Amino acid sequence: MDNFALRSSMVTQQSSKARLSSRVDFNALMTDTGTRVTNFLTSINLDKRNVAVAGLNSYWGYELIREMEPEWMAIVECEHIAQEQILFTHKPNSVFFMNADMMMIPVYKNRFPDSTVCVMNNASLFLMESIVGEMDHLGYRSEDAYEYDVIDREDLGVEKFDMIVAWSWSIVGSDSMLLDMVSSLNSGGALLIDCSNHNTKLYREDFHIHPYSRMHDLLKEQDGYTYHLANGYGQTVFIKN
Amino acid sequence: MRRTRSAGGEKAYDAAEHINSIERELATILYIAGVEFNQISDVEIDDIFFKLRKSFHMSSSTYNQQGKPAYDLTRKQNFLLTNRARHLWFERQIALAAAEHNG
Repeated sequence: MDNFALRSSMVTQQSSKARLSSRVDFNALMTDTGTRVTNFLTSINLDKRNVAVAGLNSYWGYELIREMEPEWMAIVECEHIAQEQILFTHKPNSVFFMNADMMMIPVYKNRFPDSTVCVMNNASLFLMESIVGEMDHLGYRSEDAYEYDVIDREDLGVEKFDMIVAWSWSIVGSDSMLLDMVSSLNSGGALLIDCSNHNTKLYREDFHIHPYSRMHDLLKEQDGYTYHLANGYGQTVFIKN
Repeated sequence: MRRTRSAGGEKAYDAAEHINSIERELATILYIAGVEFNQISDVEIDDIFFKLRKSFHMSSSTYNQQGKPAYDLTRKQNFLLTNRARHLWFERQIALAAAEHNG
């Protein structure tokens, strides 16, 4: 846990009034999600050896949120506050969630019911639909409350959206995925990448060779503008020309 | 193919298509590592890592013999490939279980 990320997140938490966390018990929601998903992962005998999951945010994130200390909760909540901030800044007609986030999708859908929400066909979609869909912290069964579209990996780069939201760990290491996301943006569209500083490891003195710098270098080569914000665990926004 | 999942409707997740997309990308990493794709049912993540680490070897001798830029590049490629391989392996395990789960 990085001290700067911790302090900035706790102040962000105290200074913000976000739609998500002001309407639901964020801690209970996280604990329930983490418990359900980790129970499922245990039931399928997921390979949890170091060689298979070390440093893998997509895995340890669920372990983390299952039993969060308040300080960690502030950091996680801060990431969702940052997402909500960008999502609510203007009303896109279409939003694509690279990761089927069972919290932000209903929040966004409630706020902008006429906008089209689309998600990627991947593990997070399966977990949202099959494993965490019965939670009642959102005030309804998340799977029954709204309509959404789903695309497959090969459709990315072909379909068009006004906004794309993704967690960094689902992109890093795949240049083609990132470029397809940029291709999928309409002109003037925005790509939001959350947790884009690799748990603050990007800010070490060798940042120029850090793997997450590759993602930013690639974005800077595209037709548009790239903004990296160093608060918390980092947000990167790309606006397409 | 884009599909709409209506409120309260059938689940939209397609395990078969998900597995296909994972294995298409994983095939590239296996190729770089020198693992035959047709061995994917038998291969373990350990095998992939072993071969990747052999190809993108990092040690003090690498640093001393080839210099810092070469070492840095090797380190970066090593991370990007192993991190992506881990992510895909994680997704694949869930996709295979989902295929079974959904019958």
